[in-house]
Amino acid sequence: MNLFEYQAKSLLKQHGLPVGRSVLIKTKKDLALIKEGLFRSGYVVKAQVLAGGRGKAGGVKIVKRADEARALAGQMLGSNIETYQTAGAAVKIEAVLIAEKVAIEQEFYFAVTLSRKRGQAVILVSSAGGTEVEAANAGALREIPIDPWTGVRNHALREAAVETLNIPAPWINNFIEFGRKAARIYAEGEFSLLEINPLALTPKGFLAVDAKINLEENALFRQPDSLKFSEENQKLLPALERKAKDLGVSYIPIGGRIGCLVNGAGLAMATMDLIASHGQKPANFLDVGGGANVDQVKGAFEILLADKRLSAIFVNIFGGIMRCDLIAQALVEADKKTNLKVPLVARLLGNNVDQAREILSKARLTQVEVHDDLEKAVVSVCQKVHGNGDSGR
Amino acid sequence: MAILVDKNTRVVVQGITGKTGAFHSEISIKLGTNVVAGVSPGKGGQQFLNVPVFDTVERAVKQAGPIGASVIFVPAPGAFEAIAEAAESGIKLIVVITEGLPVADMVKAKKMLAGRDIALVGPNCPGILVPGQCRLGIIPGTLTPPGPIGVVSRSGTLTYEAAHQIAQAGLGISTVVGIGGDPVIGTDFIRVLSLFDQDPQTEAVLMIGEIGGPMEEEAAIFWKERLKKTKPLYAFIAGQTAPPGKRMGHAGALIEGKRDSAAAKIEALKSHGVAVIDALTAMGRVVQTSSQTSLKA
Repeated sequence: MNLFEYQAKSLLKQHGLPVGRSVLIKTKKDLALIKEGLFRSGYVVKAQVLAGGRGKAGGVKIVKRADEARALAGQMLGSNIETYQTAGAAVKIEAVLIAEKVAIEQEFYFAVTLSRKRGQAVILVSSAGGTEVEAANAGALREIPIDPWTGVRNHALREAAVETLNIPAPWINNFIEFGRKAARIYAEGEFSLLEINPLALTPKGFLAVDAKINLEENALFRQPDSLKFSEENQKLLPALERKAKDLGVSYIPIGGRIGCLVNGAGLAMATMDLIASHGQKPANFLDVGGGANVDQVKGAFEILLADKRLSAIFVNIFGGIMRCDLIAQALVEADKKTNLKVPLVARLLGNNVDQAREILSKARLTQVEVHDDLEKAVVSVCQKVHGNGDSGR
Repeated sequence: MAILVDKNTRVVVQGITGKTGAFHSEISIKLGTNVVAGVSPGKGGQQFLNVPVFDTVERAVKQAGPIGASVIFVPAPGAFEAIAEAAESGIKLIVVITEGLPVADMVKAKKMLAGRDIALVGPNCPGILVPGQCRLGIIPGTLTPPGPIGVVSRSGTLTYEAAHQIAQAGLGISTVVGIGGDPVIGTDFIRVLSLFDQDPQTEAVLMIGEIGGPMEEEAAIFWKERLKKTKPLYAFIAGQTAPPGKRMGHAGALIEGKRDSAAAKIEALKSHGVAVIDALTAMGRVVQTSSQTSLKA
């Protein structure tokens, strides 16, 4: 789960990192907070969305006067924005942040994240800050390791400041202090990512011009502040994704026509790939997990039955631990609530598969076809979509 | 022969009286696993599944005798402590089935074990299975007979699928090692590949990877440069249709950079001479073909 820029900045500020002055606009009434002469140097009007790339999509504008900022913020609030990170769908702008324009002498890329190669956290820095870093190759990023017990070393930050970032001598100790604080905030908050891009050097010192935080789901049970943010932002998810979160199943729509329901993340991904290799596009990733109960699987089926874009549903259950009869029962119950209107092909194999077939035949779900052979099942579901005169793309 | 464990391995189960721990321990014992002790704080002195239960791993080692491996079912908030407890009690193989461990805990656990002769497998993994001998974890034990194929995987059910296909193809498995789907894990592909390389029973290896992280490519380079390559290495990579920036169920299945995608991994593996299996349904068939060729040779 990502945080909004304003949420991330409030966290950084609370822990003593400079983020500059700003006001948050969540309703039309809040526009009155942008008073004449609020910021003398100018106003940066920033759409608050949970996706990067908003600058290029017109979500960040700089104006000189308060009335201009008010007008822009009024337009942005509640409108839709589509960036290269919003997966082809527009997202609603729920809030607008009005930040004071600052004089930037130098700007950098700065982030704290996990290095999977090292198996520990690192600070990443680059002299190419702002939107340039996305174009810059990863080789230009310098890694500064953070020890899980003793934190980050001053000499490593100093070396990065001198060699990679060319920070002027009088500011080097400030950079070290900034880096140490950021590393501590990252570790204490147990984030997946803390990104400050750009990190600006202004005449008054270092400042986080933008901030992005990605929460680590596994740590939420002992991070009450993060949990609060996570619950808040979860409410903004599209309805089906929110339902999946509430159920505790992993669901990621990707826009195709064949809905998928699988047990296990690896098998779920591989099943989507298999559909694609037969010329159709899977609609979603949906992993009900190894130890799901009837209610969870029923809820997962309800998500697929509610998705009107689907032309067919493919179920792939390898019942090693999961029982196939539980899947069948969940499908029958979900169908009672919302009728299954599209063909459903299920590959069921393993635990209690005979009982599952019996449950399905008793329920007389005529659109349901059961296979034990995976290849035959996937060929069949793809033919059904193809037979509808629908390429699935 | 097998790798890491066999029927003689003396096993302790940490969290044996919990729901998942109890359910799977019962099956493991039926499959022949030599479970000599269970640990469940506050329940020391009881018998559970005909196994003595102790309050700590230390007591289990003292009273039940030497223990070769621990399986951890302890829920995520207590899992780091359980790992540390096993390590400090002298256990050399620690298999963590628990899912949802905070990354920070795993980073610390890895640092704690670095340079010590202790293998940590997992977390968030299905464990280890030696068909016909021993099961540490939750891998269904009856999918495959013993045989010449070694399987190592980041995924659970995908591994069961592979084991099923291998059995359908008339082959069997030497050992299955589920290394787990988290971004930081104890045992990587490289370590398991070198163990399979030394195992006389294993004639070919199937490596099941997925999007995210550098592990598959590192393993391919290691296989090419450091191993004898007398045993064919097959690989399957899941996630060709996964969009970037989304965690696909596993915390570690996330495309963050160009090299994390399935397409990039497949290309890298092929460039290092690894035989990549393109279709999910072809795992058994491909491995079977190779075993026939190698038998002829």
